[in-house]
Amino acid sequence: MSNTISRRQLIVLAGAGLAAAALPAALPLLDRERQTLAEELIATLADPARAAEIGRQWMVSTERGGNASIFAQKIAKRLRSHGWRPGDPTDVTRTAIGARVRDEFRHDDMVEISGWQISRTEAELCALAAASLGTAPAEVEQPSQG
Amino acid sequence: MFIDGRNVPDGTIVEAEIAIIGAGAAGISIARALRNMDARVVLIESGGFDFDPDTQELYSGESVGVPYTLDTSRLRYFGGSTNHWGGWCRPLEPIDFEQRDWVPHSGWPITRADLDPYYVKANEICQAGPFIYDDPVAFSEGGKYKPIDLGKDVITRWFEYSPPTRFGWTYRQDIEKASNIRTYLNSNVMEIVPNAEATKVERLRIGTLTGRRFEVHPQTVILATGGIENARMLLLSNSVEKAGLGNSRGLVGRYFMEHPHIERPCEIMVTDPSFVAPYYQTYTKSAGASIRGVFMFTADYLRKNRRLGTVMTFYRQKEIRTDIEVEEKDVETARDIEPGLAQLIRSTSSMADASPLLAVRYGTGCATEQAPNPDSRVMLSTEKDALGLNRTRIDWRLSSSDRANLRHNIEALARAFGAWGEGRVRIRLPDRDKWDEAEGWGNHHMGTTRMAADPRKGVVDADCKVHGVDNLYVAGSSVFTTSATVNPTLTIVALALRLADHVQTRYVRGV
Repeated sequence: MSNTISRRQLIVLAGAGLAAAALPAALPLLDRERQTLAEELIATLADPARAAEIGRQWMVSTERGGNASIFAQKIAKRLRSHGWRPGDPTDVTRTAIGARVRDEFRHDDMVEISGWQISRTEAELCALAAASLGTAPAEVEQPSQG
Repeated sequence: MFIDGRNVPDGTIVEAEIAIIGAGAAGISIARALRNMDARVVLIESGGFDFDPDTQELYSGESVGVPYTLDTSRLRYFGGSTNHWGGWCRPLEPIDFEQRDWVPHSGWPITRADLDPYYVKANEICQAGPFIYDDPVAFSEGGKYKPIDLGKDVITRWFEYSPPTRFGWTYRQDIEKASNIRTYLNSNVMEIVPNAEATKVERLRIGTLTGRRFEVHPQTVILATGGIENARMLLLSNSVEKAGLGNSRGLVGRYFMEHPHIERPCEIMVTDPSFVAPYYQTYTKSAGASIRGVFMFTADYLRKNRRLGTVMTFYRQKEIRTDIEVEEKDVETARDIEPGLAQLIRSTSSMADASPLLAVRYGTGCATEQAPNPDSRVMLSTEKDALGLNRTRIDWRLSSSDRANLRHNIEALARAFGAWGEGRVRIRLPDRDKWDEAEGWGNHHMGTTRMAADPRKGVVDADCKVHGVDNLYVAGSSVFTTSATVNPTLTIVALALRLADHVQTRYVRGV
């Protein structure tokens, strides 16, 4: 038997490595962790109640459902690409959100609320606030992931 | 010398080396440029020194396309439409002169560089101050103000304001004192009459509203009656060429363009008003000029996205405050989310603070480029005016793609403000399947005797000479091949000065 790694073995090892790297994000969060994540994100908002109203209007106008946990995980997933990790200080979170929002504008990832053009992450932060404060419209359909 | 045409005996023949038809921005600029020339110059103006309703009525006509007012969008007396000019000055951009493969019929036979020396002189004539334009340092008031950095697609540009110069008033003495210039007032050119081959103008038939008839026999003719009337004048000159003088290819009157204006196509919220320099919001004195900052789109953006240009003005509209819930008289539903939106922006940018002033909402205005369209045109009506001449029939066309272009540009503005971080844009431009009614326009009449090197594509050549007619030139915005986005007067004057140079050189050389 050769000491060298076969091409097939390399592919298997590489696949395992990729799976390991993706593991933390894919593991289901505990309820408490989800709650903490949502709180961390909402803490960045200067006025969560007013943000919640924007979120409610966006969800109504787009007939969008969703709960706080889903919105929080979506936002967190995007922020990770900016070096952010759950538990980072609020200022760091805010900076990461700002960077993400500006990127979304640059890449035309905008949503419209009463004509105002805001970024997708901004809209979802508002929806997260609405869901957390209980002002979100009733969920009408299973939200899609992504 | 000023002469009232109503006192000229019937049948008089006036000999001249150069005849200029029309005493507006172009005609007066050319006459002034020729005032020390060793040649007899005749300046022929339909009106007198003041507005006269009977003369103005000669401008009435039919509008059969996008509704347009022919009689109020221009003025027919000494000084022409500068008598109601707003004074906005800015040169066209280099890209405006280029052939753009995404804009059919684009491409001037001259470049911005050809006009640059004349723009400087035109700025003086328009009394717009030093020719500075796009120098943010000059307008910074010692570093106090900076243009908003909106990235690669949207850029701040500056207009300089003319007082505005009323050419008929400001330059009346220059014209009057010039020993080689005779100005005939209340004198309407009824036809530019060429030789039998229609290759050279021989005489101008002139009439007054009081019934006098006389002629001018010039060696060179410069038609400078405005962007609509220039085309009408050529079409009316049809005793030899039935389709009109210079119109053997049917291009005279086609490609009529305006700058559609839209009030508040979007609103812009900015977290901190100190980001917005005063020059964005109103006329501002700076560096010896009266300036206004506007947003335009970069040449790279226009090329990459295959867009037409738009210019956006900006003015302070309303403070967004925590202590005001909803504006009393404002029923727009978008208003109730504005404080929250301001807080949302501040959350990730300059940070919320305890101040009740969260942001300022700014209104906008815009003027946008329309693509040249041969079906958008000036024609002759069957109705006659008081001189017995066919009135104007205008068929202004705007396309849905012109409007879609504007929408895309506003979206680009929204992206730029969002990427900057301290602003957001609300789009108010209504979607329309057809653009068959204009929200507004600039009284900018362009394109009806367009400039092209190829006689199959334009009425005048790069020297503004009518193709096929040796001694007939056209001055004014009717020669614009494309409309660009900014107000045309400065370019009209620059082109007029260039034409004056050309005519003078040609005269001195005896050609």
